[in-house]
Amino acid sequence: MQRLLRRAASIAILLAAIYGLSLVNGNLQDSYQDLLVQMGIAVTLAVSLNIVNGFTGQFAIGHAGFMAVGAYAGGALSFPMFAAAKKSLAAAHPGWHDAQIMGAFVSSHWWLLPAAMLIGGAVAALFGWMVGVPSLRLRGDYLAIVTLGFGEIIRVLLNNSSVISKKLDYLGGSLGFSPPKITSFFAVYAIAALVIGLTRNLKVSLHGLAYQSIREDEIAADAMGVDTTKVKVAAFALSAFFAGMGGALYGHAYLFAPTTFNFIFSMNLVVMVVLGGTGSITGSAIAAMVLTAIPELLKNFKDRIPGFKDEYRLMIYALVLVVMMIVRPQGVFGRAELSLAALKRRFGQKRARDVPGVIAESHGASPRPRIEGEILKVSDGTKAFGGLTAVNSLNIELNAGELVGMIGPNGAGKTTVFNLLTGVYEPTTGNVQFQGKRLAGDRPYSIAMRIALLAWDTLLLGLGGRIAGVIVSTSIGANITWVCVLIGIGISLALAPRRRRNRTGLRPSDFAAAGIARTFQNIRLFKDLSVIENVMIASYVRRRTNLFDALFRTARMEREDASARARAMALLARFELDQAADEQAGSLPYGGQRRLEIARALATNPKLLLLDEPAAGMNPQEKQELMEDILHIREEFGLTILLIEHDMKVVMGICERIYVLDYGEIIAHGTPEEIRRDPKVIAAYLGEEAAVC
Amino acid sequence: MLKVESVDVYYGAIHALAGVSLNVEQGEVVTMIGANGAGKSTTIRSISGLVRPRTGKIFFEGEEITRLPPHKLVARGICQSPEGRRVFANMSVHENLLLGCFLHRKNKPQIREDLERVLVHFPRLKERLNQSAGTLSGGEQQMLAIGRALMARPRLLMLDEPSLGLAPFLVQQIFHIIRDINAQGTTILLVEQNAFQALRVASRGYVLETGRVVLHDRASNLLQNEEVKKAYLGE
Repeated sequence: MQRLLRRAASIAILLAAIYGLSLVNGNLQDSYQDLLVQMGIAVTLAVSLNIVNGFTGQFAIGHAGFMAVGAYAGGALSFPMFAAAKKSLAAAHPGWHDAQIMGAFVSSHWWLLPAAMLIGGAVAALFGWMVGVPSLRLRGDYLAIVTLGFGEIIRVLLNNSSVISKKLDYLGGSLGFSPPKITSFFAVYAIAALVIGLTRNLKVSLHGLAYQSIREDEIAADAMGVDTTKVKVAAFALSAFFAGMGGALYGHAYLFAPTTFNFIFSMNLVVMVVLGGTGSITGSAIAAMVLTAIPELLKNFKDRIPGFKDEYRLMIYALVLVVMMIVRPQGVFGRAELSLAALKRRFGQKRARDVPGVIAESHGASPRPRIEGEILKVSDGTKAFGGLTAVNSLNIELNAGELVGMIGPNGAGKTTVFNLLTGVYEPTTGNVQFQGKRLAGDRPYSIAMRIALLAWDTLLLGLGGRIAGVIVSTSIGANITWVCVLIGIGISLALAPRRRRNRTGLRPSDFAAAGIARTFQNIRLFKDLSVIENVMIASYVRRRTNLFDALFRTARMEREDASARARAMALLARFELDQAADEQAGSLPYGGQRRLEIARALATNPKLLLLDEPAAGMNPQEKQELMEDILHIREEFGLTILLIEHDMKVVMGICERIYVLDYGEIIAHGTPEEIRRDPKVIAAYLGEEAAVC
Repeated sequence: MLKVESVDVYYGAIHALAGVSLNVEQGEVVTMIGANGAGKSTTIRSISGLVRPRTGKIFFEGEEITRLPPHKLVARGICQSPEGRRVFANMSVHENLLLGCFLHRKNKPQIREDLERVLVHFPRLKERLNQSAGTLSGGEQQMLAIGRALMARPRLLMLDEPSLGLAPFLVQQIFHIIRDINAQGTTILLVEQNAFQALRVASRGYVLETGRVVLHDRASNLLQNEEVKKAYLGE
């Protein structure tokens, strides 16, 4: 209750301050008022783009497209309403001029701008979701291309809106669209503050950490149980929602045409985010204001300095950008935020980090009674990459509580096995069962299911063929509809053999949720996040909060964040990393990074832990400590451990059983003693010298 | 041949190297041993121009090379097999190896001969010659990085944990290769966690601790040194 009151009070103070500023604004020159509104809208847009480009580290360059969607969708609501109201007001009060009509309209329709923004945001979010679902599955630069294309498509579609349907005539096509000018200074800055506040809430929450983990290392994020595709799509839709709201604000402030929201506009927004510091809300907001203001303020030079041509203006602007990028390539703020806490830290006052009572909480993974019997079973697992069979009909069984090693020459397929066990790869044939549940691999469909699937495919593709047929036929002027339908049915029949098998479709994050955790051969920490944040991310997989909780920072969210932090702290203490909790993970010494990776993996509460060359790069003393550590955590966390390692002292020293892989097949399997003496293993792997010592 | 004079390196506020001095004579194998974070890799990186020392000087064959950019050092004959592989992932194994001898690209017969030699050392790479390097396993990439460095025919070869992630028999192989190329006249500066093996191929060794050289002796003496035995040889 107190929390709510405090929050309501601070919101009221903020709104009052914005209202006060709007009074000041009212006394300014028109051109400055105009600029200030532009700056405020730019803040909303840059901060929203920062969610995708900064937090999740994707590269979207079609943000103006979502803004256009918001502007038009919002305008589509308000424009006819205003036209009708204007007519009736003019009829009722014949003597009124335009300003009076506008005034009466605004006071009776105060809800219209928020409604337009909500609709603009919702439609833009829908578009964001539609663009995001297919393109965010892919990694790399595809998103840039897709969003670039999206921005252009939206522009072209709106340009030709009247061609699409006569009913859309009032959108004005390429001539421009002018919804009522009901955007006010107050609305612009209240929305900017709202977007900043929500985004900040998101950033500090567990959900925000999950977003940022994708930026840091997508593969590791997946392994920690963050469903990267879903999270990216959510981030993208949220960002589009805010952009749509910004678009609606813009649409009710200025006359605009589809060309307003062109590629240059999108790029300017990208520049704001990059220059301000990708990931920094403060940076994006300030960069948005400054970069919007500079070109406008430079206009004044034209009149004051003789010989100053208008072309110089953009050259100076461009030069400022280039110099800034050279001086501070990470952006002005980098990833940092300007906040009271940061300022206090800066000026020597130590931040009260953790409540002592909270630290005492346990890491929550107390030793469980050992489950006897089989925990993991790989039957006939095969993985082929094109013509190359990396792993061939592999059979592995692990019993609960066992510590098993996997060795083999380089390139034998050991890491591929790990990737099969963690869902990074899907087996070409065979399957993976964990605790009796099939996680990967296929099972043939029943005949009935296959017939049903075939019927469904045929229906869908036939229908698609028909639609395509109608379009093609009208454009070429000959009726070939039935040919297209036949092609569609042909495709469905051709696909039928491939649809015979029922895949689980589980992602790496599902494997993590099921209780399989791993470390990586070449350490994959979230390097720019703090040590404790690295571990906290593991709690995301067990979250009970949703995006709404994160945005509005509900009590539930705060509790969850606190308990995630406390658990992480307890785990760090266990691995003697608690002193470094707030340091950047990438700055830890090598041994610390290896320990942190294990701590992070344990934080997902696994039952099976996969360690990929944990002793690599360690000296004999560190290796000795590692061996003791591994034995300890097995007891303490009730784990089953599978371990890839080349150091024979480690493998032979702690493993109870060993699998030996060569060319993707198990060539030997047994106790360390048996393996050490196996002539096949000596020939393929150990070499004569190592076998002796 | 190589002389490092009281070099200091900082990463931000972290004092990574504090007055490290060492020298390597023509034809030697010299090794640096020490715990993780002792500054071994940093020393190599400052010699190859990847990090800039704040103070101190580095000489190669009598000339100062402290502030030269990496590619100029390669031209002078200093080559490094980087820690963490760094292969060109989207190029084939063959192309990766050829890029190693970029500086000698005019000398076709020599390239053929060198390629042959590398593939004899690492038959695994021969099997994968036309595969793109990114699809290789970790250990195979390590072989490729070493092979690529050998292709450059360096006068001074710096190897940063060459045995990392390699199967036991390959680890033995690596140390044979080091002996081989040293016998052919290449001077070698070696960083290894496998201190026992490293000291067996080296003539001299430096022990680093927290950015300082704490011990420097003939390798055979270091192998007998009680403290070295305890801390780094695991006995």
